[in-house]
Amino acid sequence: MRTRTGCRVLAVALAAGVALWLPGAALGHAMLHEVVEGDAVIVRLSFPGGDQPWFEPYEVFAPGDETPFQTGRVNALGEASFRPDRPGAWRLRVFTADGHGTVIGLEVDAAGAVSAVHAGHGHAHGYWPRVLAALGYLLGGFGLWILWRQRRARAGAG
Amino acid sequence: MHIPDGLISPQTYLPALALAAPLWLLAGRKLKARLGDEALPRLAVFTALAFLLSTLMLPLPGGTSGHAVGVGLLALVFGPWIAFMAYSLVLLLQAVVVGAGGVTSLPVNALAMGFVGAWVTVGLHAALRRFDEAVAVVVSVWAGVMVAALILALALGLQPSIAQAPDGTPRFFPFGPAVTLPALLIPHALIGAGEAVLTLLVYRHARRRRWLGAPG
Repeated sequence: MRTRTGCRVLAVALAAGVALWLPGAALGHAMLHEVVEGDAVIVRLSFPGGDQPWFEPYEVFAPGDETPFQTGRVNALGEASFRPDRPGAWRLRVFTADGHGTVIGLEVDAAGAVSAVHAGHGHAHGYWPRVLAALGYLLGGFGLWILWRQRRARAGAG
Repeated sequence: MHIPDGLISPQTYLPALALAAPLWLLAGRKLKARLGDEALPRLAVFTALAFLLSTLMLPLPGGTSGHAVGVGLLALVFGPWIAFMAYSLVLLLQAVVVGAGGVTSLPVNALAMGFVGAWVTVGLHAALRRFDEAVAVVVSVWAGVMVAALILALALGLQPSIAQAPDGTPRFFPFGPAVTLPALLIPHALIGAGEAVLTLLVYRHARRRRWLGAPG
């Protein structure tokens, strides 16, 4: 009699244990989520010809860090976005397999907004004016060189 | 084809600078010694043309685009040393004013496109011109573009092996040669063909006008 009661207690305890353990085990493999409100830094990227680097990889580096804070691929709008968790000098590096790319420095303030962009020369606006300016420097530089040579030749002859 | 700043490691661009600096000095001396008052304005115009060629985007199959190089024309008209010097100036302006390429990557880009590209073009042209001048120009310019693309693909593809973070992840560029070689060589096979035909047209004009300088 005592043995039967013991067996029942044991079976109930086992059933209760399994019942309590199963949801925990299921939760261990679950991916939970919540939608949070927040502002992100969004950088739109494009090639000089107007195409966008769709689905090309990018890396985001937090201030002072050498390991990426975020990695990902440029979205279908040609944008890379991230949500900085601290102020400072953030870096966004975008690169394609054929070696095109850029490193953009983003100064993020305490409110999480971008206060300054150090993109070097890679900003989207004014590509052709810059090409014309470079052409002007090039031809102007050669012109000055030619004038200098002519002046020196005249001085040598005189 | 210009590699920008931030994608190649100091282990790559510092040795490239050590190699390029004396070559720039030597090329500068040759430029000063060989170029007369008549040829200098011509060099200015051809350098400007090479610069413009390297800014024009050519649409490629697959929705992407690439740009011509332009060093082959300079090499065939002025010789490889002057072409190297002039094209280095093009790359410098591209990096500093236009934002294509980079300052730290300038030695790598200049050696691959300006130096090797020019020498391959001139060498192959000299070897093939006895058979057919037009074929020699087209093949040599195409080969110059392809060899430059090969060197830059290898320079990029080696970055994951030579520059890693402590945890083993690539610090500058993540793709190995298996990705960079086809990514650069396949588009430039088409770009090089277009550039070769364009170079042939200008080269013929330069030859008729007796603008071709002595090689070297």
